[in-house]
Amino acid sequence: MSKNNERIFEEARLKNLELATRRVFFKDCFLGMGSMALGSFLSGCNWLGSKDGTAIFNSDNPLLPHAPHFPAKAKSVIYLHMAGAPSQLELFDYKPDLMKLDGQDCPQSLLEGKKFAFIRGVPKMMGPQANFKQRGQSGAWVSDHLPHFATVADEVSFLKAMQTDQFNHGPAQLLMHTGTPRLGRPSIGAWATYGLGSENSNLPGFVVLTSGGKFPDAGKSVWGSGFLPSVYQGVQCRSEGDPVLFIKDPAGMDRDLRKASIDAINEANRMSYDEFKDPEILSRISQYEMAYRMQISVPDVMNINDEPDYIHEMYGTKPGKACLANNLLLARKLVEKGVRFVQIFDWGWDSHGTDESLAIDYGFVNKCRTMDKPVTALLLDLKQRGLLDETLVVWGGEFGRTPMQENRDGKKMPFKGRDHHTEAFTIWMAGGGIKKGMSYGETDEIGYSAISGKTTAFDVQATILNQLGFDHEKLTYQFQGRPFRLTDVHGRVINEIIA
Amino acid sequence: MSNVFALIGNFHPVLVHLPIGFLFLALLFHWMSGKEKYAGILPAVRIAFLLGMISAVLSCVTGWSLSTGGEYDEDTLDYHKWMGISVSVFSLIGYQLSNKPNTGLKKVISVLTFLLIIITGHLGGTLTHGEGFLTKAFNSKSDSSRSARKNIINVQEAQVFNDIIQPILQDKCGGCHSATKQKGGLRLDGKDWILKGGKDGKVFESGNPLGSEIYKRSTLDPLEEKHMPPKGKPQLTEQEMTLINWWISSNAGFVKKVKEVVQEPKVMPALLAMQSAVVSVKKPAIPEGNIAKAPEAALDSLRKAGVIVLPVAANSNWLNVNFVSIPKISDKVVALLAPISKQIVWLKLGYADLSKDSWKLIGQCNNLTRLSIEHTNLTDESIANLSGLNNLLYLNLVGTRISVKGIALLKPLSKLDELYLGQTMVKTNDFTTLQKQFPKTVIDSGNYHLENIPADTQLLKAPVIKK
Ligand code: HEC
Repeated sequence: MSKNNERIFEEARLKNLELATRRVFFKDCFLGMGSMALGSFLSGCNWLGSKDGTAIFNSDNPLLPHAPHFPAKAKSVIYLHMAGAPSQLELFDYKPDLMKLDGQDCPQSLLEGKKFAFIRGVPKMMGPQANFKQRGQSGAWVSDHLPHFATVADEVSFLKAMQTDQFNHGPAQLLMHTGTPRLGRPSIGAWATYGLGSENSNLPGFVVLTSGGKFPDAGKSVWGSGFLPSVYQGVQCRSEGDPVLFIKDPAGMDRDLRKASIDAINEANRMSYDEFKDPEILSRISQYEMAYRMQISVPDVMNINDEPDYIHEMYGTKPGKACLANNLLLARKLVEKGVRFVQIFDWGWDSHGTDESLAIDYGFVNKCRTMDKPVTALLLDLKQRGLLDETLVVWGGEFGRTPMQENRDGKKMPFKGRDHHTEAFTIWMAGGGIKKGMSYGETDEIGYSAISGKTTAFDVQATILNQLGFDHEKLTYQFQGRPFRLTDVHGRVINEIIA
Repeated sequence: MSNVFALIGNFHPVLVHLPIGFLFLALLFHWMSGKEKYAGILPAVRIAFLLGMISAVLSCVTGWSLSTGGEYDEDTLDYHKWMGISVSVFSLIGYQLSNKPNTGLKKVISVLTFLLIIITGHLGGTLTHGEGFLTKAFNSKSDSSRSARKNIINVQEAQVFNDIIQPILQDKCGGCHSATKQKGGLRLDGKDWILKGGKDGKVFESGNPLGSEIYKRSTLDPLEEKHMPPKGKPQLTEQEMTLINWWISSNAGFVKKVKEVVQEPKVMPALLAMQSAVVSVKKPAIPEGNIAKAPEAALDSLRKAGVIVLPVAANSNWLNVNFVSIPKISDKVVALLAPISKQIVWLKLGYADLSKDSWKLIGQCNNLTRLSIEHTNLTDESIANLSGLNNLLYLNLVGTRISVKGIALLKPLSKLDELYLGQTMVKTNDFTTLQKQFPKTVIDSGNYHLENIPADTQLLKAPVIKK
């Protein structure tokens, strides 16, 4: 036993002795009886995992990789969430008829019984503020705001008739990612990691990257683990400064010393495991070990500087900054190393027209410019590495934007903008067993509401899980006496876009 | 009178279940009554046979009425009819014998009745649900042949009728208008049948969609009786209707190719959707059938070495093997694959520096469908080891020192769908030659660049507006 460890073992010995004191005995009886009673209320709950036995929480190594229900078409997912909700009417949903109505009063029929976040009274219709062309072989409509993306339009499947029932950012984002507009449910990345574990034992299974200067409105809950064990929550990494906060050893603590201290702590833990046989202790030991391994491997993958120049040029990265381009390059690196789920949030797409940065004809165009090249680069880079085939890329916002110009509080606004809109928006998916050059769903001639091929957040979630090899109805977790699942009682796999 | 006769035919599908139930019950009671313990139910046998006989006769009558509608496959119908009549006759015999003492004859009759009911029932099922209806769910082959859509690589080169229209008709109308069934006296599974028409005459008039019943009926109100396909059956999608309309209105006939026919803007998306809908490669590929479980000891030693070894799905013995967690892959670890070489279907072994023996071992994993060996030391010589992997669908050779010479050795990989060759020694102008050698494979040359355009870095600024 080395000298360094003696203090730890001494502390362990003292804690151990405390167990025999009267005070601790009473405390334990008190809590113990309470929890026994609680336990009997909750009896019948199968706490650890689903009955079908495919995804079972293993407290010894919760991130142990699992096989899904059926062979997966996608091994990883990169979910690009444009927080604030980009306008489908300026990007993909081309509505020449809306142009004809530009500047006219919105017909009453579209307003009756409808609720908007900010529109009041009778707004004016606003035609598309972009030029559209059909692209590639598939003839997909993509506006001039995305000149690079237009060249890869044949790689993706558009869902043009997405609908939601939430018109505020927070709830709508939660709905997209956790399957409910309220707090408390696990996010889709957490479900995926719960079901699949982490492929690379040195890296987390679920990583979150943010850009745009702000967090998504719904806060960290959009990548939370809800009622799932907390090991499944997204690990937020940063492309600026330390990739993961508090991962560096403190000054004066070298790697060997760190190793020695973790070994010592683990040995003490193992001794108490021998005594009590509580599996949570083993879980603690394995987590210390994983944290130690990640100290080395995380900074390594998170470092984009060792990528060749042409890759940096392709993505248009800005070294040392927290920006979407850097995050997308990182996402590719992470997926290459076996991370299952990379969740990317880029804030700043809420184009109300309240100021220049949120104007549909200025700030929005600029957002498109910072997104266009890196997203295209991501698709091409994955493709040239043979990874697009097994990586599902999803792009979208939390809702759409109105075909009417926003008139906040019934007044004319300084810039052109569109309000939040629930009845139609566009998202796209690519790679990971999704059809190429497909467009599914249609909106009416002014893009106000979806008329055919409607899809919802639940359908998207079911489809993502399906591509990862899961039946979304069977990936469940027992909580509060009933099995929960991501899509609750909803969701249909969108077979129309699956190859 | 003939109307009433036709009407009672409609009761056949309901009535037929009665004799099946009564006669099975009669036979069951009959067999049970042989046991002393159940001897008391003997009188019930007679009653059940009587009821069975009556309902069997009624079924025959209604069935005969239904058959005169003439919408069924004649051979099957004939068998069904005679079998049905024999069931009635046998139930009469059964009734007669039921109060006689047990003899060998009685046994034979009871077994025969049992078999007859089953055969008649099955034939009836075949008439209404089509050939092979029982096994459809088990038979993935018949499932895929049901959807006759075939791979269209380039829609402009496809034949309008054979490649686009016929598959739609087969999918949505074939259940009632084909060799097995001819509702309305109409078959839609071929040019000649379509031109022949149905019991009310012609159904197709080139150049006139609304004058062609085949299209017009699908435009009717879905609740109307003449609407096709009938209510509750899978309907034509908007796209399919657009395509059928275009096929008729443009006089495309039965032999023209898409590119020889005028295409209005409206059909373009529908046509393109046909194309993209099929560029689909069947994935994730795992071999058909299953395989013996891999030895647990071999899996353990791989896991101990840090290799991820997982079944591709719960309840499958096929394995997905991934070395991504190992920073430096050694030949010793790769050698651990030997005992599971037949079970591996997906293998990821990027960035490895391997010996000849290791490559040989990988070449023996001949159930592999996906192999990622990017940035390995694979050479134009060692690649020869892979030429026996004839189940491969996906091969990733990015960043290796492979040249066209080495790739040529992959010729036997006839199933190869995707081949990734970025950053290899394959030169830009070699790719055309390679594509000729591998006509069915999508070859990715990598090396993508995105041009810099001013918009990438310039941001729009609003002119200063006066307040
Ligand atoms: C579920 C069975 C069913 C399906 C599927 C079906 N039909 Fe029919 N069809 C019928 C029946 C029953 C009749 C006869 C009733 C009548 O004449 O209205 C009929 C009659 C017709 C007739 C009239 C024939 C004649 O000369 O009287 C046409 C034309 C027709 N169908 C076209 C189609 C087309 C085109 C499709 C596919 C898009 C289709 N049907 C799918 C059951 C079906």
